[in-house]
Amino acid sequence: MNEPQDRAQVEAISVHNFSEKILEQMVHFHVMKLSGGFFLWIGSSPVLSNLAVSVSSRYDSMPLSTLVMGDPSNTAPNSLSQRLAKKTKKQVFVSYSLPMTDSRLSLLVEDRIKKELELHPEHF
Amino acid sequence: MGIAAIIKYNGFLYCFVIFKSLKQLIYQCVIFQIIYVMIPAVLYLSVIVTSLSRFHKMSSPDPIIRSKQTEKNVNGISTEVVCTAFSNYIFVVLTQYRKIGTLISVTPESRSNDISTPSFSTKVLLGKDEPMTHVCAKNLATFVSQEAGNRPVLLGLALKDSSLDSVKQMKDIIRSCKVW
Repeated sequence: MNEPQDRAQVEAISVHNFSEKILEQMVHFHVMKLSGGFFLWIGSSPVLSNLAVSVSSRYDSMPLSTLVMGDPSNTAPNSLSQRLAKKTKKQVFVSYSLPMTDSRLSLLVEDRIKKELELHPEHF
Repeated sequence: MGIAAIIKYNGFLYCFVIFKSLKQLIYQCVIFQIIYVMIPAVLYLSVIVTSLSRFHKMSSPDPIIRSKQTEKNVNGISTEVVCTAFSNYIFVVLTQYRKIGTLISVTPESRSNDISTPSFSTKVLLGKDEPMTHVCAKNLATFVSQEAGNRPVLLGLALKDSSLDSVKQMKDIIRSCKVW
């Protein structure tokens, strides 16, 4: 009866990359699937400029979130990890390393992640 | 070929050829087929194929960050390593739980008196801040930073066994996932 769970535990960490041109800009995504969560990096150049982590809480409808690295005035990594944690019910690490010049970009980026979550749930 | 004549009429060029024999007519037809039908068809197809492959590449270019991973047995415990190279960080996940666990940043100290022995500072960003964590992190990540041109290392550490012997073996596993 525990077979599917056992198999999931044996499953190794997997890494998945995908890219999309959003608002005339190439945006790269890098996902590392872990046990009970995933690490997601989003960027147009290979820089790790911030890192936030979120995890669902039974005491609050919104997942708990903290910024581990980077500029605290940039709320993008926190809010994205929070929304992804809520959607996936997993621990989510997010590094949002895109310039914060266009507010439309972050919405389109989030849509692209949701599309990938639907198309390839096995990578998350 | 026998006698040939080209006549211009109503804006079209008409070519009349009188062949000596039926055999010659068939040869000419075959040559005409190759030159005017098959070669353009092949060229046209190749153009389509190259444009398609270019389109395919556009939708999924090579990832801009490189990562390497491996799984090894360290004193009976399955140990996984994933190394990812960013331009400002090397991200190393060393885990026996398939989780990131404790996150530590290992940064080379900018003000070091002796160039031959640079010092490294460790900071626990997430998780339990224990002296042992700092010892392990320094031991495991210093060589990565040095080899990567003093790039800081972000280390995810989730170990069941952090004995000296195990840590030694883990260093070799990290070395086998060199992305810097």
